[in-house]
This record gives sequence, structure tokens and C-alpha cells, in this order.
Amino acid sequence: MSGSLLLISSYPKSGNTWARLVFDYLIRGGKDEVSINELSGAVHGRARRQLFDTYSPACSSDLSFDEIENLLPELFRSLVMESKGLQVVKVHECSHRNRRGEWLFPPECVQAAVYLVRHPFDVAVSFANHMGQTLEEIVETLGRKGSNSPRHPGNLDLPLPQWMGSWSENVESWLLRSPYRTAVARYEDLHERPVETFGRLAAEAGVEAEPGKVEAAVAATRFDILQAQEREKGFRERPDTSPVFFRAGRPKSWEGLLTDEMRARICRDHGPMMAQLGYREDGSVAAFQNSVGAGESRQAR
Amino acid sequence: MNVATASGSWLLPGLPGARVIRVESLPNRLAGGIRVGPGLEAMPGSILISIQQIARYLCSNGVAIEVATMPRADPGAVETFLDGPARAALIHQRGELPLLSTTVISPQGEAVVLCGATGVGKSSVGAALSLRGWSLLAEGVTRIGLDAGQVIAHPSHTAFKLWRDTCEWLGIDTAGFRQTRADFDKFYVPATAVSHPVRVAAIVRLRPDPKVFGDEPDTSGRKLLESHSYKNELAVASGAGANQERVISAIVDQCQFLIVEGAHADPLPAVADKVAEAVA
Repeated sequence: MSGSLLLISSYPKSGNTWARLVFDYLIRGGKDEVSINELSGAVHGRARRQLFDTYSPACSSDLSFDEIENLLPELFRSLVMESKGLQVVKVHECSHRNRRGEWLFPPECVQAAVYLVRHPFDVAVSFANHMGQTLEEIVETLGRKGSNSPRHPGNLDLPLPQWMGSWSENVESWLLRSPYRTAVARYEDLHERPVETFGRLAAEAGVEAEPGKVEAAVAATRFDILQAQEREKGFRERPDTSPVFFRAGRPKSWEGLLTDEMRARICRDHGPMMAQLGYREDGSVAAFQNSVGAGESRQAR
Repeated sequence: MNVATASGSWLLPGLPGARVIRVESLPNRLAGGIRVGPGLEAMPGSILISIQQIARYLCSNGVAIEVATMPRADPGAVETFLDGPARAALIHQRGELPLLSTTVISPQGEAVVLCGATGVGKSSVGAALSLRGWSLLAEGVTRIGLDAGQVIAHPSHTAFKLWRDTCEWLGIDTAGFRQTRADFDKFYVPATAVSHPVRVAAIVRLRPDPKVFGDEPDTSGRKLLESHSYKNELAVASGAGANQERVISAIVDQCQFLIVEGAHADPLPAVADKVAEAVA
């Protein structure tokens, strides 16, 4: 096998694109500038459908969701066989097995997973903007178990479906039930101490970073730089439903937007997982002991 | 789609002389074959296609497909993959080109082959054109070959495969139409069809909004044909590369290559208008 995958995983709007830009920078050797539209690894959504149809013996539009999922492990094996080095892959679905009992991303193809979490208050506000939905609808989505599940075979939208789960399900699947060596970080820590936190993630994921490279990667991916690029040239991963992809880029963007009822609903749905991650019900963030499941990187294949 | 004969085998429309034979089982590997991709192995004269939980298809010498159906497989699914991947494999073996496309016949009687990325709306645009007097020649995979040196597309289908929402956009009532698979909201939508080979006038690439699909390489001519043929590597792996190369060269020499922008973004009638204008 000539290549391997580095999974950058998270529930949506939790720093995934930022992390992909940083790791892409580190792995490709680091150009002075990053380009959001040259970001590799979006083997996700529409791009995954295109990739699927390139490798699969049958067109995705003729397959059910379960059949697509059953073929995906072999597809990722083919991708790895035909590639060299570490391939960064964006993942928003839960870590899970298909109906044949195989992990969607075959563990032998995965060097490591980097899992990012963010306070669900901020996720709700950012995700609502991303999807063009109301906050009420998104709070409901965050709590819906098996949400966006690909189990129903009625139609196939352009992106391939994904089993994203509720926010808690998503977090739990990666922290407690994934077979990969997993490095975990909170968005808030990335924001407060980016060089230290990305450096730790890189070390735990086995990504070599020469001295100074993490600092350079963080500098090259500053939020205002990404925002300016999107303003100037657009961002191909921005969905039609979202007016802007790089919106706030900071913690506590929920303040003044989420009502008491919405916050209470989020805490009711996700309280136990929030507590384990240091996410308080008042929206503040406590110290994170990295003690949840795979909080410390591990090998469990 | 397939025509049963008294002997219990089937004929494949668009592939005269080709037969489909149902068998109890097929091997899961092709002895001596090379792996072309997941579920796909080939060697000169033989291509084995495995679709998990549906069926295996052993395609031989461009003339026969043996089909071993998995237990409890949906017959609609078995037929779908017979008509798509398996038929395309047979076309490769004949040294012709199985182009992932929808081919329609203009009111002037010329074949217009609609190509484009997966999900861009080839069938939908074809159906929109059929509602304004164009005819259907082939859907999903178009068999393109040579007849006395001239590039021709062979007829293979009399219905488009359309999702329910596409039918609704086009004002087509799906009541009474057969589903492509038992649990799919996708239908065979009958259309006026042409039953004889037609000279290919144009290859039209439906290009989507790059903000939605990402930038596509600016391919035209030969590269476009290679990237839109069904698993292009099969031609060489099955020993038919040289013959297929002649077909591709003839297409490049004889056919117009056109690009229609705005696919999947503009309304279907608008995209159909652009195609009609482009080939006029």
C-alpha cells in the first residue's frame, strides 16, 4: 500500500476546514500562502460522489445508500493504493461500520484521525448560517439521532449521503468507538493556543512538522486571510444555502443569538457529552483534561 | 429492457448478436485477470464485474454476458447493472466506445451525445429536449462505433431514467411508470425513440457551475472521451485498446465538440435551449 489517509473529522462547523488547511500545509511542505480553493482532501459530499463514480463498478445514482456504503471501504483502499504519501480527508459522518460490518475508512488505510469538537452553542449558530436554516431547526438537527442517515433509499442528492448522527452521537463515535489512532482537540483551544494545539495534534497523528512549520501554517491560515480569499474568489465548498463560509471564526459567537430555550434544549440533549468536554451550560469553557475516550491518542485496531 | 428468447437467454438491445445467460454462480475472481478497480477484473476476452449483494457479470468476447444473481437481489437492480456496467464492458470488448452519456436525435436527424460529470443532469436535459421534439437513442451508456469509417451511435433505449423530482420539474406524471429498482424513486420514462444507428454530429459537454462542482479540467476531444467512457482502462486490459483508439480518433476528426455552461444550476429548459442553440 503506497499511501495512507489522515482523517480530519468533526461535526460540521467545528474547525474542520481550518485544520485541513493547516495539515495540508504541513504535509505538502508548506507554501508561504494557502489557497482555500486548492485545498485537497474534500473527499466529501459532491466530491465523494465524483470519486465514487470514478472507482465504483456501478454509478452511484443506480445504488442504494447501503450499497454505496458497502462499496466505500474498497473505494478508499483504491484511493490509497493509487496515491502516495498522506492524503487529508474531510469527514463529518460518525465513525461507523457499513451494513457488511466494515469500517467506512478501512483502519489499515488510516494513519490517524484528528477529531475536533466545538461548544454546541457555537456549532448551532454557525451551522444554521451554513445550512440557511433557522436556529430552532438547527438545534433540532443537533439533537436528532441518526440525522442525515443514509438509510432511506428514496432519492440521491448530488452529494453522497452521510450518517452524521446527533452532535453527541458524532462526538461519542469518534472518541469512544473508532478504531483509529485519534488525536482530539477543542476548537476553543485551537483558537486560544493554535501553535501549541496544532503542534500536539500533529505529533499525536504522526505528522512530522519541521521546526517553525506549525507557526508558519497557523500564520498562513489566519481567519482574516481565509475570509479575504473567500470575499475575493469565493469558496467552492460553500453550499448555496450559506451566504458566507468563513463567518465568525471565534468562540462565543452564539451570544445574543441563541435564546434561553434553545440553550436549555441543547444542554438537555447533550449535557453528558458537554460535561465530559468541559463545555458548560452557561456557554463558557472549562479546562479539558483530554480524558474522554480517545482524548489521548491511541492505537486500537 | 432485455428481450427474452425461447431458449431462456436474453438479447441486449443495441448489441446485435450479444446474449445474456443466467447462471447459478460465477467465480469471485477472474483467473489470470488484473484488477481494474473495486469489483472489476479484466483480461483479454473476459471482464468480471461484481456488484455486492446484487450480481456478478462475466462478459466474454463482446458477445455474451453470464449473470449470477445473488440471493434476494432486486431484479430491477440486476437489470440496471446489466444495462449499464455489463453492457459497457461488452462494448469495450468489441473495440468500440461505451460513453457515459445520454444521446438524443435532433429534429435534423443527427445524434447529439450529452456528456458531463456525474449528477450534472445528462438524462434530465435529454428528457427536456425530448419534450420539444427530439428523440432518444441511448441512455446511460451510448455505444459509439464506426460504420464504413463514419462515427455512429447505436440505439439502445426507449426510456429515460429520471428521479421523481426531475419528472415534476418537467411536468411529467410518473403514474404507471416502472421504477428502475423496487425501492427507488426513479422511473423509466418512455420517450419517442429512434431504432436505427445514427451518425454522431456533436459531443456536448454539460459543464456545471465550478463553485458547486469544483473546477473541472479543461478537457476537450480525446481526453474528454477517455474520461467519460465507462472505466476507460478496461479497453486496454481486455485487449481492445487499438480498435477503440481508432473509434476515438474518428470521433475527434468527425464530430463537433461543444460546451454548454450552467448545467445543474440553470433551469432545465434553459439548458436545453443552450444545447439546441449550440448544435444548430
